[in-house]
Amino acid sequence: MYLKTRTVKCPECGAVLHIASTSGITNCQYCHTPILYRLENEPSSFYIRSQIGLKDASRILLKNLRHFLIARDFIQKSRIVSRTLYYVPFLCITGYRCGQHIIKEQDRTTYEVKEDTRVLFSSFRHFRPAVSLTNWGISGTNPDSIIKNGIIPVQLREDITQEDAVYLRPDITINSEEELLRDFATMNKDISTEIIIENRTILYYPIIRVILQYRNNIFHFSIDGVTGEIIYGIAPEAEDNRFIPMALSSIVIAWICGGLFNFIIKGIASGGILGGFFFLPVFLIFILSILFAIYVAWIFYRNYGEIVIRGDKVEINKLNIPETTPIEKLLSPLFKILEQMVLNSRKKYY
Amino acid sequence: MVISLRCKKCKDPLKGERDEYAFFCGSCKSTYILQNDTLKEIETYFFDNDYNMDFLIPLYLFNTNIEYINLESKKQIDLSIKIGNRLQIITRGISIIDPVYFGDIEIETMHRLNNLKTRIKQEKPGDKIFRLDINPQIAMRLLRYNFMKFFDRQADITGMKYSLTIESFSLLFLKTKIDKDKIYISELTKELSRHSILTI
Repeated sequence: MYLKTRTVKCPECGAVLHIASTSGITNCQYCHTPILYRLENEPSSFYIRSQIGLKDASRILLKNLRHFLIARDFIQKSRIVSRTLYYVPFLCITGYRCGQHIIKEQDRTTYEVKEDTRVLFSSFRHFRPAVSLTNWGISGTNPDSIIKNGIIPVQLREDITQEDAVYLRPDITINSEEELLRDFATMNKDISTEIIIENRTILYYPIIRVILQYRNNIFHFSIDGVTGEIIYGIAPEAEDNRFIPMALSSIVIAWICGGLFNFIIKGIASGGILGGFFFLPVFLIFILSILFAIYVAWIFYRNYGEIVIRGDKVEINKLNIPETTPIEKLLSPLFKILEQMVLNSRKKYY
Repeated sequence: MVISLRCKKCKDPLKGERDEYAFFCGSCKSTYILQNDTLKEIETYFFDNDYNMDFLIPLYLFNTNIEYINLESKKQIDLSIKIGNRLQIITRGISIIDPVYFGDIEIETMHRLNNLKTRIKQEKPGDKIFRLDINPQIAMRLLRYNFMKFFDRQADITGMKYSLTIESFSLLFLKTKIDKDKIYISELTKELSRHSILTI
């Protein structure tokens, strides 16, 4: 747990007490009076206990990283550098959207506002990460659905926290109340709406971070500590993702070369003047065809990528993609068909 | 804010958590509420029917005085006579995850209370088996909405103006039982799902 050291005076005996948080209950060391202190309006904290052990993380990775897009030897040749259980803070705000009572007219375009009436329009429970973490996939985590499925959060106390887990400190600069007002208060401009925040709590959600080393590169994975899903991870792309399109392009180049050489030689040998007349344009077509095939192969080569895993979705994140050229735009349907053909043919092996 | 958690009557330590607004003396069973950074003893009530219970749901019970300023229609006049100038208004004292459904429970409790369908009795909770985590100031803001909701169900109140003042407030407890994933509110024969209250 993170610590803040502050001092307060016992209201009974005046003794100076050292405290480790901004709000809590402590006993005076001298007169043994229980003392409630709230130095900042700190929300209460709860946590959802991790349902997955650190050892289970390896099993989950083995199961999910066997995918045709991911390098085949990634599981065998990668080494676990670390496995850590983190408790990531989410801010949970419950409250109400209230306002004047309105009557909707039949044409559904006009409203009559009842004077001096106030009603509760709706309630809300809003979860948002209380800490900003890049490439952790926490935006895809929904503690709300976990609670609805019957997992009950437990009040967090320093004496019962897991010692081998890391509790991330909430980022207090997030002003969620203002954001909520902006999000919810604009139902209808003609109706004054009030947001009443009922309660704020911090919910610590378990996420296991696994770091793997593969061929001198480091790969991070986030595993949901409740559902056991990989919520975010990056894996190396299978090399044959690029090899097969390049091999296909080479075949096309070889075929064009052979065919056109044959045609030119036959033309020269049989026609003489006629062959010479056709030689230049045919030669130009031949060169252009070779350049086009090389261009296709180059596009496939330079579009190397990494595999991004988010839950059930496994997709290629292309790296270093240059701006799309007009020719690429023109040929993009063809590329898609080619890619799909390659993927479909390779899916059969898995 | 730094305050001593000792009972003003018997000087015993009070029970409660750091984020709560009610503190309870295990010795003399007095209940204190934290308002404006001071502890004040508060009266506690129960419905008259008794059931075995697992925990208590605390509600703020406000005794209010209403003055009607502009009564336009006969319906409004009839309603004002029916309700009178004194009304007991309920707002919740515990965070509920499904607030709209619980809003109906609040309104039903108000109906039972004000129509004298069920009597309440002043009684101290036997043990600290409740949690009050809603600030009294928030409860007072919710009070106006519950008042209008209660009103609006009975008659058209368009154009009706009123002035509402709080005379006093206390705590009213609903007894509940937990069975598997459900919380049964014994007094109202209503049920909540167990995860609708975050803190049990």
